[in-house]
Amino acid sequence: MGYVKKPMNPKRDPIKLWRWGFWLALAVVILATGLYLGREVGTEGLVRENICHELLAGHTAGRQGVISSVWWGPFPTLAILPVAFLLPAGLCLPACLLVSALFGAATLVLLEQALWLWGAGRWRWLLMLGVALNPSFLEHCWAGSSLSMVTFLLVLSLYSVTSWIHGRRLLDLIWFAFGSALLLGTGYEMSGWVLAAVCVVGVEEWRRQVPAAEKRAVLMVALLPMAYAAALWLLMCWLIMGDPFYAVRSLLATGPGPGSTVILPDLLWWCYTGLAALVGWLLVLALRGHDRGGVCLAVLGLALPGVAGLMAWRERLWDAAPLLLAFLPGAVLVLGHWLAGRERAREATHASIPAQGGRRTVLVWLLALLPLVLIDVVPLGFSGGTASVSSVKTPISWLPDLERHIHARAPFAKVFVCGFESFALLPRNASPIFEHALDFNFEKSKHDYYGQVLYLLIHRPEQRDAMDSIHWKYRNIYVQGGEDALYDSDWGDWRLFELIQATAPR
Amino acid sequence: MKSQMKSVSDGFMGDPLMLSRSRPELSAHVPITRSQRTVLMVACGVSLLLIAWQPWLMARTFVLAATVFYVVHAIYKLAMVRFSVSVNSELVISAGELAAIRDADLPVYSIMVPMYHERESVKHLVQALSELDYPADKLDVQLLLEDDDQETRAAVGAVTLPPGFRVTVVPVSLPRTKPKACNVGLDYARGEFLVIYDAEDRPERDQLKKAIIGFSRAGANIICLQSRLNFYNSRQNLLTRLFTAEYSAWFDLSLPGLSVARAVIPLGGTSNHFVTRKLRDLLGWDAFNVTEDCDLGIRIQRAGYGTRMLQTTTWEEACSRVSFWIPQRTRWIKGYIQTYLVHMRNPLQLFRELGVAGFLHFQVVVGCSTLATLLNPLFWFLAVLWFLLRIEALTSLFPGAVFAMGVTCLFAGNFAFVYLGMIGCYRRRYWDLVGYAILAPFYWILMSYSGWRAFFQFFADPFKWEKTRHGLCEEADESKT
Repeated sequence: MGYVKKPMNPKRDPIKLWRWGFWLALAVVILATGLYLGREVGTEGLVRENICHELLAGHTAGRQGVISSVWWGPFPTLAILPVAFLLPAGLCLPACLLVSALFGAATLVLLEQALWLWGAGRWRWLLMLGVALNPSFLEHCWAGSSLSMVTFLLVLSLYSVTSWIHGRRLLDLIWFAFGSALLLGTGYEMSGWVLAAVCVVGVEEWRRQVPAAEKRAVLMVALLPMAYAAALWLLMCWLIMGDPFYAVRSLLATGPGPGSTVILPDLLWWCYTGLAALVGWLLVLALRGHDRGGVCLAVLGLALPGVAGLMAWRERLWDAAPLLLAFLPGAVLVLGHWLAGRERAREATHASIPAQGGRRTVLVWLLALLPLVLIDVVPLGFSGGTASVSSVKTPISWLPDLERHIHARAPFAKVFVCGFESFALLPRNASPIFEHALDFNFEKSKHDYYGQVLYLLIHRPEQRDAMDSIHWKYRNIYVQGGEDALYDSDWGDWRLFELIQATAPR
Repeated sequence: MKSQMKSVSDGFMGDPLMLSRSRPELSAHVPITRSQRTVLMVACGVSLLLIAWQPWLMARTFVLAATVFYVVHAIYKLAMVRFSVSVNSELVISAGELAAIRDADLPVYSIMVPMYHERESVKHLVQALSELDYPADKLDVQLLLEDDDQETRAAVGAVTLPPGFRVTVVPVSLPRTKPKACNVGLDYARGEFLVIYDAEDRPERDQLKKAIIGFSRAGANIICLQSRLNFYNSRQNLLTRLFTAEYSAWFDLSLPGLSVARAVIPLGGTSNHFVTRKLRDLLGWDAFNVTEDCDLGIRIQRAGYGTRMLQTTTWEEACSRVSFWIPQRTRWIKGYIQTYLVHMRNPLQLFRELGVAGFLHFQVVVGCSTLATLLNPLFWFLAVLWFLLRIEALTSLFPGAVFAMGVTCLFAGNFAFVYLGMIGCYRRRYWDLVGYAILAPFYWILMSYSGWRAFFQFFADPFKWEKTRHGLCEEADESKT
């Protein structure tokens, strides 16, 4: 029957306990290396971690932080949540860092296991090493970024959909369904790739000579988790924000913001182009060899830079960064699949082993070294939400000054800190005069805090911060202020406004 | 327990109530013991006092405990499903192995079919059993008929029984349960192996041979093989479709997972294949337990033996009317309550016999699944109340982490259970039923209603056996034609 496990190498049992140990050991190594090198948590990690603590404290800001923006997908935050809950408060180890290291290690182990199940030889370790030593991959792991989760889910989806096409094993279809559904939950930028994956599965089913009911069943099993994840997001938005489409409003309401015209360095551009050309070449080989799994894998691999290109066309290259960075392990997977296929074919024909071994070693080393070329060219602040550590530390240093400034004006004032960046700005023990405001509303605030002196602190609208609701609800507020917001002062990238209280009776 | 069983097994002959007489602590003839009642009353009393003293704290504690319970239960079920897709989750017998077996080497196989007011099933049953691929001279088929069930006896009398078939009349006595009839049949069984079928069952033709090979392959410790059950009238109406989705998930996903985990397996009511001698050692079924199959599965494990899943299917008739489905489910859940209380009379001994893992498996498989059906309506009600009215007091019942876990259970856990139904149908290749599994939440409402009905019935009428009516499928077919 179709669901009976038929791996490409049936003698191998996919579940090995040592892999669990290997995974944990790799995570420890990644974590320890990051700590040893003195890497600190990036903005994204801080934001997500603090959202978790707000959520655990039962605050509205936490609930809003999880679901209110497609630019800050809920899945990475929810993945950090249990760890944030379980980690002792006294331990100086951010939960986001731990989760990121675990997912990073899981990506590598999964990559190795996928290649092994496809019948790859020991050279699969070299490919894995190529990804492991990639500096951008490691930097994101060390920064507690969600990119390690994106990469893991992407490798999982790619591997499972290819295996599904090869063996039609139900478990692979389920992994693909959940991997893609969770990818949708990591953020807006992955939705394009998920759509491409759905199209590939749809085409694959359409061309099969099976009853229509079976095709429908396959598509339902594959697509239901994605549909459910999307529907759940809408429902949560409706329940928490009062508008089911709140999270996607920014997509419609904003154009390209400042900082969205980041240009890739030339060398990096050529590296990605070379990688894409390699995957394209493998696609041609798979087409010629009638290898449906290989075709699907290569098409989905190419979809990553394709969607990134679309993003760049829309002048949102900073959101294309995760796609490009995830392209590296994706391309390695495509390459590994092709090499494993070649190896199986050679085993079947008993071809000369030394000559092949030499060619293979050279090829593998070249391709494993390709990501290493990127070491010096990947800027650490490449991804919009994962700015370098220095930009995190600077604002916190002026926070007490800001507090004194406010107190000097009015001892019982309230400062609404707008946008997701507020979670990175405010420490967990911040003064109660500061309040997170992800869904700021002038009228409501004035009504709720009638008679109180109110301030608004808004971050410069650049990159992902330009998508915060304050900017699409009150356009140009940062630059021009507004009828109700009077410019007060600048604090780093932040601007303070005083809210003008209406004198009308309540 | 094993040695004790052996010592009393010599006295099994002739007494269908042997278990309750010689090992009363393992029988449900006393549904709840005095010490259990005392513990329960003290717990209720203390809870009431605490509620009166600190109602809000108690409510929060209860919500916390229930949420943790849901999380554990959901993770456990998903883990079992993950286990079920491993290579050796079932005994798979190949066509080559079946072809290699010689009729002369086959042992005598006993088949027992307890029947009560099931005249409409007689013809189909005899036909289905006579089509089994097993030499007639080595078949020992007993139709277990109640002495006062004239209609079934007449129907059987009207049919020419094939060679190897015989009728065993069960004398009228209390309790009037299926396990008591099975114990009577066990006394007369001649086979080395034995299997129970229901009157409406249609086992796959090669099932007995598969069981023979399965036993020889599984090892001496395995004394029971459970076949998969599924329905031949799965598409009769919406209820049978949902029932099929549930059965497919249970027999094709959950039970194989339990088998891989070497956990206690609550046997299905039919198509359990036994080593007859070992079953006699275990003193047969508990005549007072209304889910004697589940209880026997636990006793097998406690005695140090094991159960494996056999990849073969017996086709049954799904209950197609809600008015019959609810009593059937009530009986099953009531039986689970009985079984749980019987085996928890001495938790320490149970712990020693099952080990840590087995003990925890028992708690989740038998205890938690019953508790979940009882708790569900309360949490559905709270969820609906919160969605509709947004009562702030409810929010404070779910502080931080509890809220996160609760939301995860509500949205991820429930979805996972719906998805399991879909996967079950998919594995069964019931392509057209995959979509119906999405309607499972409506089915769960029926389950919870039956759960509460079972809970009250357990105290009011613990031995009541609500007989499931079969033959509705044929009735529907006839009315169509």
